[in-house]
Amino acid sequence: MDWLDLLREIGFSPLSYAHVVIAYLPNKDKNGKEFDVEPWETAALKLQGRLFRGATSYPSRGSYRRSDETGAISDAGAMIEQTRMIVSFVAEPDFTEEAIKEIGGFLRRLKRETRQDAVALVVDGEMYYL
Amino acid sequence: MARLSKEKIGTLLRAKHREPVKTPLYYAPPFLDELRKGLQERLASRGGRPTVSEWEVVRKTRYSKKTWQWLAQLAEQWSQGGVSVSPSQVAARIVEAVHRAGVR
Repeated sequence: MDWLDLLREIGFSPLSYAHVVIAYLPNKDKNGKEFDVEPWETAALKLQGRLFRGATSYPSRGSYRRSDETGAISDAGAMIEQTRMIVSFVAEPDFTEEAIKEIGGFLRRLKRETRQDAVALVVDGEMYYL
Repeated sequence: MARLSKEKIGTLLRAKHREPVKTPLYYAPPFLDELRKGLQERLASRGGRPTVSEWEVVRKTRYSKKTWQWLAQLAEQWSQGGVSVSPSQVAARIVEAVHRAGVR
């Protein structure tokens, strides 16, 4: 039984939002060089706000093993970053193929323009590496 | 419209790889931050301990030691830089949020 089953078991019913989407925005490139992540954070807030009716960002520190988009570890070191988490709680009608594609496009642009090995998005407890 | 499968979401994102994130605590920090913020904004004092005006019913409730310790720890964190919050107020805020979220 996973935790979602457990919540259902103890009486939780579906919420007014059906999905949780979290984008992770790093502030360092694949070589560990810092860049200004704030414009990307603002853009992500605007995008997720438009697509999903709302988004909240959280500053956080993270440590990450370097790995590429296939999950392969590229070296043994860990990188410490000031990650921004952009969280949206999404109602079913807003969770569309077009919205997912648009988020994917944004994250691939972030990956390319800020020189990342990989970028990550969590949707409903599944981590997707792009 | 049919719900999107994980596989379909991966295809739409053009993700190269995906893996499950099992722990519910993944979502907990933002959730608790929101509760803390909401409580701090609503607490007001009329001379006594600050309280939320629509919380009119007072009841004694038993907790396990473990749960109370967790509530006390949260209350200490939530009191930093704002109005002092009690463990019971933390509990009331969590129950209120769960109720509003749609628990039957």
